[in-house]
Amino acid sequence: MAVENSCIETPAFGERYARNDAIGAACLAMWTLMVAVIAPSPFPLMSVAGVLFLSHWFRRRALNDAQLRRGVLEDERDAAFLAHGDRVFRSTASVWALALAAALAVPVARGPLLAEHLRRPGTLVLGLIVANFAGQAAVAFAYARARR
Amino acid sequence: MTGTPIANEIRRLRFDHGEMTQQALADACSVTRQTIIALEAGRYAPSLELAFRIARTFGVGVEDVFRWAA
Repeated sequence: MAVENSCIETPAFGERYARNDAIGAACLAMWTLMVAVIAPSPFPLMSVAGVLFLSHWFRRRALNDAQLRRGVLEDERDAAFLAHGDRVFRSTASVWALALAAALAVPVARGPLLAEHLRRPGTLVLGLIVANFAGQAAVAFAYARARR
Repeated sequence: MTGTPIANEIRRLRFDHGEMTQQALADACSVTRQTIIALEAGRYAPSLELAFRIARTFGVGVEDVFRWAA
C-alpha cells in the first residue's frame, strides 16, 4: 500500500515555540530574581517589563514568519493546547499574587519585601515571568503527552 | 486530549482517493499534518466544522468518516 501511513509526528510549531519560550522564561526569571528582587534597580526592571509586554508580539511574529514559508501551522488542536497553557498561566499568576499578599501580611516576610522600594514591583514582575514559564511548560508538556 | 471514543475511516478514505497524502488532506482542510496524524491515530476528536471539512474533501457524509466506537 503506497498511501502514506506515517505516524511519525514532527514537533508542531506551537510545541517548539513553547519549549524554547519556557527555557527563555526560566533564564529571564533567574535574571529578574537577581536584578529586580535581590538587588532591585529601575532600568533592569523596566527592561524585563518591556520584554514581557512584547512576548505576545514575539510569538505572533514567529508564527507569521513560519507560515509564510510552510503554510498552515496552527489549527483548532493547537488552540486547545494554548487554552490549556492560558489556564495554567492564570492559575500560577493568581497563586503568586495571593502568596505575595499573604507575605505582606506577615511581619517576618513584610520586612524584607519593604526594605527596598522596587522589591515589590520586582516580585510582581517575577511572578508574571514564573507564570509565563508555567504556561509555556504546560503547553510543551501537553503536546508531548498527546504524541504518546 | 489522549484517546477518544470517536473512530474514523480517514486512512482508508485517503487510500481510496488516489492515495492522498496526509499533507494533502491537511492542506485541503486548512489544518496541520500533526492534526491529521492525531485523528488517524484516534488521539483527537475534531470539531464539528473540521469533521464536515474532512467529509467534504472526500465527497462523503460525516457519518461515513466518523462513528461512535465506545
